[in-house]
Amino acid sequence: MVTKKLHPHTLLINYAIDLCSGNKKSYSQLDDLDYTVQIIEHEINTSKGFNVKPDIIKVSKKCNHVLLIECKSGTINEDQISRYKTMTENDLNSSLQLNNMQPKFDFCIVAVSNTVSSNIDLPILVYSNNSIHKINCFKLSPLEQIFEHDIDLSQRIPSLSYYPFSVNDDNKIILTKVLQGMISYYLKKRLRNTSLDSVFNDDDFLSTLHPFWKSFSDRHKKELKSRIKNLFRTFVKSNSDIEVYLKKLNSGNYKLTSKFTEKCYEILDNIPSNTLTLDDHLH
Amino acid sequence: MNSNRLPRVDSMAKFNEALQDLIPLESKNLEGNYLRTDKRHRRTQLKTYIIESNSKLNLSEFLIYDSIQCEIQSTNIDKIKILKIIKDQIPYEIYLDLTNDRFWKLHSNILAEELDKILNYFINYSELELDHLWYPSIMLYELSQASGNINNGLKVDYADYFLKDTLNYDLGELKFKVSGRSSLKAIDTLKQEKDFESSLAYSRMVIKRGNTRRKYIQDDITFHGGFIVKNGSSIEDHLALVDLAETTYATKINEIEQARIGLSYAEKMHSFEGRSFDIEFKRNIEDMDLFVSRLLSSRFRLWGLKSVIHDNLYQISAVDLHTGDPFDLELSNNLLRVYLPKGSCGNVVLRLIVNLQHNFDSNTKCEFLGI
Repeated sequence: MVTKKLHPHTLLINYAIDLCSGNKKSYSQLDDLDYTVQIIEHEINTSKGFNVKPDIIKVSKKCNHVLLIECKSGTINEDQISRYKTMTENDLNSSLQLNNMQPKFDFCIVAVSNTVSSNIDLPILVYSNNSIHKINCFKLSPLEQIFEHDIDLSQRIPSLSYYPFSVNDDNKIILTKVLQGMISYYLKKRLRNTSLDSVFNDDDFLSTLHPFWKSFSDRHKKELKSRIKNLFRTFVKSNSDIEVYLKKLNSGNYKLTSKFTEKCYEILDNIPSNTLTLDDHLH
Repeated sequence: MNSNRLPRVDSMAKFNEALQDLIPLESKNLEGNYLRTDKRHRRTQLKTYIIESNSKLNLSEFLIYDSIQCEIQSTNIDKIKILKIIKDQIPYEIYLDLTNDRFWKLHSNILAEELDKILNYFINYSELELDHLWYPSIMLYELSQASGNINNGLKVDYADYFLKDTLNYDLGELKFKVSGRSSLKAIDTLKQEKDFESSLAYSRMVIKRGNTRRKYIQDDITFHGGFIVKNGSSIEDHLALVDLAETTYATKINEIEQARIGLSYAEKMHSFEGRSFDIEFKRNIEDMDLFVSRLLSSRFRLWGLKSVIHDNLYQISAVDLHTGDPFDLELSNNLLRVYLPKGSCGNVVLRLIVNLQHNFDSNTKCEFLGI
């Protein structure tokens, strides 16, 4: 059995997406405002010559409004905040090219409690102790009304699988997804004419591990790919039993056995937490 | 009786006539006349099964030599084929209607016992990427209420697959058949009883369609896409019922697949699309580990690795063994959340809901899908 603790930034990205997921049992809060488009890591150039790149941009035609969200699990960088403050509606319109919309916008930080700074005068949604607490005010009044009072999340189940992992997450979390992806890949017989190592250069394979893969920058992809490759080589490929099972799966009508599943758990149980540092996977 | 050769039809009218000939002569039976049976006096009614296909195989190469030998033969209608099967040295022929690439229809009057074995063989043959249809109870109910249809009975089939004691499955079983127009009212009354509230999952709906006196059909529609003629002789009404059920199912699958999760790219921007499905239970899961171990089994056609977030929240990295597609699940004590990535098959969501209705809690529902 694998015990899992997602990195706070991974959690916050999931919470931010979940805000308009439409599931009453999740942390969704913005369903009535119809934020339907969620743009990922899009760079906006401001007329003052700065670049800003929010984690998620939500667009509501109903409210003629854009909500730009930055997830902050570490300290909030005040320089970054001042860059966001240079952004105008014209900057937003020319960058997002939202057909027939001239939207207003709010910039918002989604954070965990220990990162909040009192010096920041932008709206901050703080997730802590099973609640959402808002600091400062949104310009859009329906948004302000939703978060006016603390929101109780104790009866809700957070959505944690929209953004399954980041480069900061624990080895076990990433390797679980790699094993799942490998099984799927082998079952679909995609490996018949492919060497194992080349799988990790295949964007389609990497997209099955992470739904956001294609939106990542080249640097981000390189970091993550290197981490995934190392984990697979160190903990799976070196295990001859697993390789034999995977080859059998690829060869035809072979069923996944409980022995194979146990072997996967054995690997995950024995893998040290984050043995590979950021420096390791960059080299 | 099982080995009768099917006509090689050359027009849809001839095809419908051939299917008409597979319907037993029930009206004569009511008057004490001839009834078509096999040597053991079992009725050989016309049965239509719809199966879901993700197969990319070239059907002309669709030839299996194993415990079943199968060959596909063309007719003079492009989309109508004949499956020639030899099983236990007995030859069978089944019409295969490929009008819809995704939902194949099989028509036959082979005994249900034999036909089910043949179907299960194909469905478990992973290269073919086939699956049953999975009608949740509410969809069967709605079919019975559709215009032109009359509900004339139903069957409840529930067996608790999530009990700790695997030797005592029968303790959690409830199976019965109700006949007649008041069947649904009778079930509504039973739903008030606390002892039965979690175990009233419909496995069959008896639906009558057509002119009730002269030209009509009465089919048993099963929760996995079987349409078994039980009474009447109108092939038109049988096929209309099958088409209606197919359209309803295809619409639901489309709804699911529209919500699959992934990225789109336009105007130099990546946008995130899709949402998860919350499948809710009235019954609480008592033992999360046991539940997960039963969920990741051949019954659900799932494989997966579980991770514990905390006592009451598990995450499962799963693979749908029907297609090999990966997908993710989150489980709390009365909720199962499904994240289906773009490109994967939506049938897994209905397979989960239906199997949970029949094996855990018949009140299992997904509000977003109206199920």
